[in-house]
Amino acid sequence: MDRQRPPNLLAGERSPYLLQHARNPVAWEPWGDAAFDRARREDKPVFLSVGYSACHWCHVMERESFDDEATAAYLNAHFVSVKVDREERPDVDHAYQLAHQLVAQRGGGWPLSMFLDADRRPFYGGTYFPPAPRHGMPSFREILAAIVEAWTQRREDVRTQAAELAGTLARVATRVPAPGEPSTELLAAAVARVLPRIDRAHGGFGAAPKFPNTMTHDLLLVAAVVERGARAKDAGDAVLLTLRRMRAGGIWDHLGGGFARYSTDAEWKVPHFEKMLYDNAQLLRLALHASRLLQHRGAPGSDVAAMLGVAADTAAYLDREMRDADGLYYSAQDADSEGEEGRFFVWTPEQVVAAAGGADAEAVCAMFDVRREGNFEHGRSVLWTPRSVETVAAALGLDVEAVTAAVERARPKMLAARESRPHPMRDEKCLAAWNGLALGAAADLAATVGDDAAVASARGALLRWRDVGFATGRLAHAVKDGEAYGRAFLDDLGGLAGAALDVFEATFDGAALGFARALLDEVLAHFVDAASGGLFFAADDAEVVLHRAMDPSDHAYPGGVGLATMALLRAADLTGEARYRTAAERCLAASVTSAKDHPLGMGSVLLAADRAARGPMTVVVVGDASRDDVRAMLRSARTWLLPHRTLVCATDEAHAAALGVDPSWMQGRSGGAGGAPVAYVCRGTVCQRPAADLDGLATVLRAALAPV
Amino acid sequence: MVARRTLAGERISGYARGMRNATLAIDGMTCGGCVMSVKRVLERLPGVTALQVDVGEARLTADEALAPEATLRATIERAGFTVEEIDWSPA
Ligand SMILES: [Cu+2]
Repeated sequence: MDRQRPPNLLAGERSPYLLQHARNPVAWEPWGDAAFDRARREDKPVFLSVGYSACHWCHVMERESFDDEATAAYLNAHFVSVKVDREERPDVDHAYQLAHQLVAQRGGGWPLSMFLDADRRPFYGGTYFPPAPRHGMPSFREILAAIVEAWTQRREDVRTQAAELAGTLARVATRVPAPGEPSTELLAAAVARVLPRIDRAHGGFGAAPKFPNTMTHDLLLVAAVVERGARAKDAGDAVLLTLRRMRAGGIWDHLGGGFARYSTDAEWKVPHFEKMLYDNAQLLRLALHASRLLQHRGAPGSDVAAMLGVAADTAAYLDREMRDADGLYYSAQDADSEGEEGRFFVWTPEQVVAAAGGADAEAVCAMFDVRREGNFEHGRSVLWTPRSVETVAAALGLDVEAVTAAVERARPKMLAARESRPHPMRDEKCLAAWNGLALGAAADLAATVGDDAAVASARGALLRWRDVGFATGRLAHAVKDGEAYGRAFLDDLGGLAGAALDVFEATFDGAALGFARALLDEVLAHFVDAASGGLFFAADDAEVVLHRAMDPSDHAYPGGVGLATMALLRAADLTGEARYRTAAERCLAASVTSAKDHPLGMGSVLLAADRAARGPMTVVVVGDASRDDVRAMLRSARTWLLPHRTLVCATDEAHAAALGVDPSWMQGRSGGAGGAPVAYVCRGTVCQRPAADLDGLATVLRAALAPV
Repeated sequence: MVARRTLAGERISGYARGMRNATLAIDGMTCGGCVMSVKRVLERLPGVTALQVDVGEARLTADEALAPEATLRATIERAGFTVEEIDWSPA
């Protein structure tokens, strides 16, 4: 990019991805009426390019084509060029990805390259195009020339194509599925379908490339405690295998913590190095749940601690590198630095010696598989731990303790050395949906381990979203540099409402529950389809991009329908308000039929449907949450993997009502002598006897979790 | 199913005819958890309004056509509780 060149119209945007393109020679415009009005005035087709900042092939296409003067001149002469950040406008992305799928008869991806008329109707499209023809793929310039030829010589064909596609899109995007009913059999059926697809050698689903697929693992973890016998054991084992193998792989950042987006191979060894907030948020929660499963199974304390460590190290990475001054979470970190993919993260033996010192380097290189010839590209190695510390120690003729100590000494030194390298770009816009996933998981972890500062930090970030992101009484989609912008989508409201409920269960601060209700009230007021009960992705007063779409699917993170219905059910359980439950049940009824057919793509809907069918598992602790003995009781409850947990702590009915919790929960329930806590556990409609101490609580929870 | 029931429930809520108050004595309820369970199942029934639940008792207004005594009993018993007796009075 040329710093001298005058900027194009993206220079006034907030998205870091759009700003990256502000000095392309392409006369990019942001999505909006102005661009399409100009296309109409000048009788030009629109070239729509959708991408995001951590997208490797988006950068490649930018370097090859959008920064190329000749290509830019051609685009500027014959097209109106529009650039969209899919993270800012997931509605635009969803609409045109669907169009691409219909045109190309295969899945899309990024960068997405679509050609539209001035009515925004697509008529042709693809994804990445190379600068020169390659592997039978036409070059970008050839595509552009073909579009111009069709536009000027065969306009009638273009019109017909656009009209036909618009018709098909209308049918597909607004299709109403057959209604169904949530039932507990849905989970069992989904688990039976996905378990055979687990990679028994390396964990995860499928072969290469391998994505974490966290939503499916979430389902397996619920199955691990609600199903019986071999099926339950299998489901839990699968999650533990995936997490342990990911933790040993190069997809895990062995120095800084956190996970890269996906692995290029089946064994999690060589990742695509970008780190996305949503993956780390979800994997943090999955590892926390997995540590609870281990404790439930009576695993050795060191195993529980190791799994909890995955969650804690991920949280530490997010705290260190991914939060702004107000504690809000950034979106992503790029894969490339110094023009090379992964350069920031990979090592040569010389670099290890320089950072860790000669004495420890041999053990460190052996442990992390740093080789002379490199296990990656250009003689560099991705850090991973394919061999156990015992195997490495035996090979080197050292004690296990000596190898462990060398690695522990080297880790902070190598992290510090890495910090001095040029960093990959960080996308510093904060998205409501992804922030919800992250701060909810962080609050749950912090409350579980008793980290008061981290609980307070999560609460602070939530209230910041309320005060800045919700200042108008409607949630914004994003906050950047302390300023809110964009209209929230369903996943923003559902995700942040879920986080508010997590913060409530970590703090019993009525403000958090109040914020959750306000967000869910916005869902009820602006997203419900009165006819089917389904929830739209965009609000009733938001821009309609081609069609007002309903999309119950998960993408790389839970979809809006799953997030919102789960938050509605949780809020209904806490507040006793039937309207939240009714809305969730109506939406789930409209969504479960497709979820049944696509368990791998709709995990979050299946999870919510399971909660609707099974009811919550509730722990009510009667007591004052500022007392140490009450806190100890709550912490103990949090170490269990309680399916569809609802956690309440209040002193009496009046206190519960003041928090916004249905006071009925407190009926016939009292604390112990002198304010000592008493815990009341219910699963579905079955209540356990009260527990007045930690042993009693463990006994009661064990009984409540036993298969019924 | 859920959608139709809810719509029906909303549509009939203005009727004056056929509405009666009921007080149900329920056995097997011991605590607030049971109260929430009974609430959860009754509030989904079309024709049930003005619902109030306490340990051992539920009070509600029922549309006889949509929520007759047998339906109320069956609903509560499916949730694991027993209906001891139902007292009806004019709404
Ligand atoms: Cu009870």
